[in-house]
Amino acid sequence: MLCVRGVTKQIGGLRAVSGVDLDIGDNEIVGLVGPNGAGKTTLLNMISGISTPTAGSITFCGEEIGGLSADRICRKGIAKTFQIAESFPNLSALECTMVGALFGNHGAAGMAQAREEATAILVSVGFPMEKKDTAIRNLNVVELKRVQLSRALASKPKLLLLDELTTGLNPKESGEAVDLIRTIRDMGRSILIIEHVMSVIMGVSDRIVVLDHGEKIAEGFPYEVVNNQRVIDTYLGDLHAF
Amino acid sequence: METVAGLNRNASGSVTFLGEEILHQPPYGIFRKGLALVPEKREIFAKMPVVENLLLGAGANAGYEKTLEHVYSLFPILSERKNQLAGTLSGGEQQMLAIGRALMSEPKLLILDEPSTGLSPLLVGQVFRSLEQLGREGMTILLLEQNVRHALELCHRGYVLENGRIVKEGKARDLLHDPQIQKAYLGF
Ligand SMILES: Nc1ncnc2c1ncn2[C@@H]1O[C@H](COP(=O)(O)OP(=O)(O)OP(=O)(O)O)[C@@H](O)[C@H]1O
Ligand SMILES: [Mg+2]
Repeated sequence: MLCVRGVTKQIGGLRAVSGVDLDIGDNEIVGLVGPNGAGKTTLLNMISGISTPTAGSITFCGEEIGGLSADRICRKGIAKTFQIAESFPNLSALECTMVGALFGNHGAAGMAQAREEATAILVSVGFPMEKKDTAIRNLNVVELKRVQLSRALASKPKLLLLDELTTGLNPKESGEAVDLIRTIRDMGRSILIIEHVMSVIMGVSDRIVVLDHGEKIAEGFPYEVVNNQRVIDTYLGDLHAF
Repeated sequence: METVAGLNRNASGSVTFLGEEILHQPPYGIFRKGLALVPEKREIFAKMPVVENLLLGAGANAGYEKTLEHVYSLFPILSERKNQLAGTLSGGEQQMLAIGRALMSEPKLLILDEPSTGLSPLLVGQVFRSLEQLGREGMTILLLEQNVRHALELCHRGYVLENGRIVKEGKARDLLHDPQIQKAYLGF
């Protein structure tokens, strides 16, 4: 479904992403991990059109999308949640999700339909519905994450990019998030997920890709990657935060 | 914790710090008395360079240059990026900055709201070990964590807050082995 070849992002003197190859198949969940500052968010930003690659190619369903604007890429069926949430501080949780429903891949026909779809999605991701009319800026971190996921799902993506969605959840809530992510995949979506919580990454990923200093240093099944000495030395350390 | 740090104006009750009532004091006054907070949402100054964010955290600490060296040794990337605008740092780098800024004043009481958020497993380990070290050197630490196991392994005592109420408190070791807590928070 997604095919990334030799993608590079130069920011001033820093090569934040350097010649990365990455594939995501239909219905696949791929985990993306690596040290802080490795270039994971930068790579997702290029796939979703938030930034333009300096070099390389990104094809989605057979079509080159590298360098297209974010709105066009969203309409082609790629949606993203943000690591640092700051969109629409004054909209309510429901309105924010409606934006996704109205805008996305197969946009809702009108406000009434968008409201209906948005409500159903907020419920499905476990958002506390008594807060559906609360302004985004007054939500706590966990609620914000759920709204982000709802907004992304409301655009009916084929490929969902999740940037640290489960950060800030306790182990029990993370377990629930793992189930939720699997359910989303079972609805016929592919997922690329960045996460530092290894129990989540290990729980959902079919395959894991590891970046360090902008380069891909390892790739494979979860158990292969967590036993890779270079990954242990640069990323996992001796105190696995499982 | 925001109430303790003076960020919540309409709270009632009482908070004493070093024997003095601080509930209705302004946040900068509480900070000057020696209480520093690592906020959950980080609240870094996005349009300012890394080093200026850190210096702002120093407050009245006369020995801030030495503390800055210590923060840089804890998080070398902050030293490499000292002139980068804080808002362009990666998520985990911003978290390091928020922790580093709170350390800059060498507070008597350090409150950390989910410090492990967004850090790599390697760095979570490092940060927790540093907190242990700071504790041994005499700093008092209040740690809010969803990383329940590691938090309880590090701390002496713990409180469990549910829906705005303390529902349990005790020695961290006892809480770690409490079946109810294991079920509710550790996912057993
Ligand atoms: N505008 C910029 N100017 C300078 N450096 C930048 C800029 N934008 C990003 N960077 C740097 O690029 C590197 C890659 O950042 P990125 O956000 O992709 O990291 P990441 O892998 O997502 O890390 P984390 O796990 O901490 O979220 C970081 O070191 C960051 O500081
Ligand atoms: Mg990131």
